[in-house]
Amino acid sequence: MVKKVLKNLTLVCSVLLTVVLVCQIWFSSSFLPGGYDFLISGFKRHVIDPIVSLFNPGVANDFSQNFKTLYRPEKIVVNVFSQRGVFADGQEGFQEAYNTSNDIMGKLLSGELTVKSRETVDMDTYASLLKGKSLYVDYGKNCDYSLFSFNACGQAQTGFSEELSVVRDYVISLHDTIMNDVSIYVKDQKSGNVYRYIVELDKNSLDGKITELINLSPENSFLSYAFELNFHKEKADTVSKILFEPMVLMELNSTKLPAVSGRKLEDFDDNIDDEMMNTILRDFSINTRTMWRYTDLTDARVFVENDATLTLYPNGLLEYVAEDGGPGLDISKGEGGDDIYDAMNHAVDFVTTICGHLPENYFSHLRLQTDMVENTDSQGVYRICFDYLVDGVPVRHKTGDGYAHTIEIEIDNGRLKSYRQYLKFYEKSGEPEISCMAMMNAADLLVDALYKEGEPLWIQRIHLCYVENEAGTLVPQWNATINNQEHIIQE
Amino acid sequence: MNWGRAKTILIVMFLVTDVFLLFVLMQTKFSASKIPEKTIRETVQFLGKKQIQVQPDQISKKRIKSENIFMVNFFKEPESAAKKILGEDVITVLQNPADYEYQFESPRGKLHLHDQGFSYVSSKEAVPYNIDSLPGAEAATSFITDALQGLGFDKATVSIVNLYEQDGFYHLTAVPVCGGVNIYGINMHIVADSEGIVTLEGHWFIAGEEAKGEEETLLDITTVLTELALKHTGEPMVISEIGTAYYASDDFLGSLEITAVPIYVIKDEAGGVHLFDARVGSAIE
Repeated sequence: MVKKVLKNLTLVCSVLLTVVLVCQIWFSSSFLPGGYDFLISGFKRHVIDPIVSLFNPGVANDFSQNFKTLYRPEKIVVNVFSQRGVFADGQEGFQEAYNTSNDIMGKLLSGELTVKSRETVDMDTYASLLKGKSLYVDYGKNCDYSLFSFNACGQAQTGFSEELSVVRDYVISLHDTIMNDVSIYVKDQKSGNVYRYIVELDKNSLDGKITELINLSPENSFLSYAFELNFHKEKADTVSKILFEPMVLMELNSTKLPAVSGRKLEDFDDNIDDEMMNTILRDFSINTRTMWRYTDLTDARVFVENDATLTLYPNGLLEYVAEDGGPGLDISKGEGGDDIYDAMNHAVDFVTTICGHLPENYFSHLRLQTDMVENTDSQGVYRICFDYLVDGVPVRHKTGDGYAHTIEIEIDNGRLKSYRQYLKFYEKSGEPEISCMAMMNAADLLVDALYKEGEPLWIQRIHLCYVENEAGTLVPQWNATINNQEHIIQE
Repeated sequence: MNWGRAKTILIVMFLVTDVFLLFVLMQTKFSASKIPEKTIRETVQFLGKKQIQVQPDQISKKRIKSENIFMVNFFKEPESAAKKILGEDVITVLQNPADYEYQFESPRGKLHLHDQGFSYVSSKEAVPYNIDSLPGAEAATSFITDALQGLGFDKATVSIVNLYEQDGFYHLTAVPVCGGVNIYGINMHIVADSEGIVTLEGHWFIAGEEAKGEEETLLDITTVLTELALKHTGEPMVISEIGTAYYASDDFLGSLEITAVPIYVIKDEAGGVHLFDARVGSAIE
């Protein structure tokens, strides 16, 4: 009996030993000097990543889903005659309003809805819709039609590609007629034409949805558009020093925003450890074996390769800069591409990769913030920015010479020339709310600073943002766009 | 079927297989850790054709593990370093952390730290050596390293190179040492008199606690020698010594921490020293 057990044990041990030795030979770097990185990375990409993404729905592996997460409207305004419900990105009810409007837009662009008629209308008609029952969807930035369409219906080219080039906002309006149809108005920012598409749609269902949404937002009921207050055109009897785009929503009372604080990765994870840093370095194709590494006098960790420098500053800023005249990092995976669609595809994929290493749901707080249009001055060169949002309010970062976005990417024909990202999280601190200056007071400050006799300031856009100063404190401030230039207004 | 006999046969087969696999594994590991004899022979022949003479036994067959050394600036904490050099009764004359500039004074001397390095000047009056009673190089080196120890530098981490005498003063260069190996690129210039150190100037880093090893080995020395031969166009060269050391780029010396990387040091009989980055094989100017 004992002999039998011993024999069995010996057999099992010798089989195990064989397995161990074979593994040792296979996975020994000396057996395959090139290493097994290709096997490991393939296994990670095709097996591990899909499983991880199941548990981290904020970060997906394909462009379409990630782009949809990052490209969202700034606000959706539900208009029921004089009553207004404003849903800023991130607020309760926003997602519902967005799903409703995006679903209709998607069906229009994909051809699922029958277009009964199409015509062009003037701007006054476009603006007057906001006095009726309608949904006004404002992205706050221009977007190339191919991307806009891709986001709405998953197709970059549709039957509307001929007439629509650049889209910033649109209106879905209910008619007063008994017909069961709805009008969708889209303004092409390039030509200035406003197109009206009458489509057949279940009007009662949309009406019910609009009523449901307006009831969710009692606080914003009395906001007015600039055109309703005649702030959009010069008056005959007085000198106008400041004018607003007709669709700017005027916040006439002073408002309050929750206090917000930021924390670096180190604050909850002890440190950006070497393993995470090495992962990030690999994403930037910096060879950890051959790079130079030092900590400069400001305590910034600097990693230098032949053609690029990656720096992690003590304030959480991660900065990659390709050497002047150097090729830069190919983030197009060899595909190149010089149009905005390709550039956005590469930028979103790259940001997704970097954010995939960060804990918590960092990625879902991000939103694309810059215009996404072809660069006609320098084809193939794009600067793409993302903001971190806290309850729909973007965070900006005070730097020596301006206000940086949370992520800023510069791409030149599929190659990364620079990348800046603040590796920080922001959340409500629980401290008392902070009073913000009234919008008109901010406008007065702009006039004091910028007005020149006979040249009224034309405000294209104005909204609140949090500004993180160099000491790391976040203060709400108004951010106005005049002549495509941002001005952050300090009290 | 006789299961007992079948098991015995299987055990024997597996044991034979195990012995064979063990042999393959050992053989693979052994051959991976050594540069093949044939490669060395061919490299020597190639160098010969390029007018570079080297003996096969000067070329180490062993493949060396690639390791970087993290070096910490001796003056990372300026006040603490100033106390070491100038003593406890040090006074801060200038403190500008934003631009990293500090000046300290004490009865012992003055210390100036800035982003380009540091300088120390002793406050005592210089007493040059009598030319007739100069100590030998070894005694002078020992005397000066003891004096450095007195100023807070660990003499075990200091290597003295390039010592010479001028007008009764010894001038020399000190470089850091880690594990008995010099670290090129970092140095301080020292002037000493018969009573101790008169001035110090340059940069100084000490090996940090963390010294991270890499999985890879260094580039084979044969590859580096080939690189040397390809670039060599001048007079015939006779290689006298081939060794390894570490190197910190002087581009990054104005830093709090730097990484010293492994290098190959090839010396020739004419006094030339050729440094090569042992990770990628590029020459270091």
